[in-house]
Amino acid sequence: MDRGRNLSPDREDAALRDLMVAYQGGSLDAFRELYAHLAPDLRRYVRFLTRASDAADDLVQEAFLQIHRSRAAYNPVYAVRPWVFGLARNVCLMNRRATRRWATVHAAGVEVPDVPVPAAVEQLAAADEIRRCLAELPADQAEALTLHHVWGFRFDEIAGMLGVSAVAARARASRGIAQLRAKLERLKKGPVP
Amino acid sequence: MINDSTPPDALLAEVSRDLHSVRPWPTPWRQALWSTPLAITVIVALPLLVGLRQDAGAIGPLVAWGVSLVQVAMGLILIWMASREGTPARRLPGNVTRAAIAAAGLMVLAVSYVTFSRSPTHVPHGTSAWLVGTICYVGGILASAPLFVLAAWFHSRYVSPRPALAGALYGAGAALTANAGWRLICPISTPWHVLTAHGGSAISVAVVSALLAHLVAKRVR
Repeated sequence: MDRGRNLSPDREDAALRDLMVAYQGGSLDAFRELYAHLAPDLRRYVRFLTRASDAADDLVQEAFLQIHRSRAAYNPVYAVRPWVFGLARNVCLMNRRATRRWATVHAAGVEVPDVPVPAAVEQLAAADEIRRCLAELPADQAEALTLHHVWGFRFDEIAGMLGVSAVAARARASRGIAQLRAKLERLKKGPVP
Repeated sequence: MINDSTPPDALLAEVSRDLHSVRPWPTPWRQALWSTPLAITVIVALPLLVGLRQDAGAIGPLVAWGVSLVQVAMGLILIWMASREGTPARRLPGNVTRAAIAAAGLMVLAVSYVTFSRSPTHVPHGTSAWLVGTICYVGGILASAPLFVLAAWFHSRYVSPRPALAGALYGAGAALTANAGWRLICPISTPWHVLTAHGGSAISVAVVSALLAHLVAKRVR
């Protein structure tokens, strides 16, 4: 499978489903390919969720272990990326009681995660400033925003991952992007006297 | 820092150790469909084994069998929702889940009211209301067991971020379905009896199921 981003989302999804089916059939090569294809984005997502890069690597491995244990629970009718991201999110929630931690971390403004910058705002400021502003957003908005604008999930997929309606997922992302733009605009104008 | 595109040796070793072929699990609605024969068996077997309630003629087939079938459908919907809750990226919105639980509770109240208004039957004089209540309470729990075990087995494969909620959903689903059968054999329609003994057994199953799911998830962690 092409590891680059040359494939269209539909073809990439079809190829990932084939790999998952081969992996369910007992192919270690299929697992390696799935790992190679999914791990980089998954690591960024877990880092984004945990804000702690040391723990993030462990959690990514734990997520892949959980994928392995639960591989029978994957049904080929599901798209692979949302399933894997959703499972990784569950692992983070279960292991870290993450929701409260994220809220605390957001409030404390700890290390800004190295997530890609959403294309919708990349023209507005330097990448570090965007990441810093992103880290100041409410956790639910920041997550919906990055899942859609950075990792390219559809709102119905995000809804299934977060346990909200697609309308709510869209609203969170759009509130997040509006707040992010406003923060970046303020930053451009400089500190208020 | 771990290499982005190559699995670490420890992970590969763990995966290789247990890399047998597996069959994909059915989707949540198919799991609910698989539970249907068992649910139907419960509501048919109870009247066959114990006998249909004596006032079945008075309440009519619609309120007897029709309402029970609707209750079974509601129970299966709760089991389906539990499966969705446990499937990554298939979770339902929280307000939908809360609405379904509230609807299940309201359904029990409405069924009790309709049945009592059609045929108000009380615990016979000389019979202990507590004894009758205990029989219905324990019987309701036992009747829930087959579907509960099946639903718990389905759910044991999943990683739910809210295991207690998932457990409560499939416990309530199993209990509601069993209650649909139990109401066909219990001749007493007094709300006090129905809500405490029948409703109490359903709530107990849901609470125990939530606790079990929570404890199992904690141990797995």
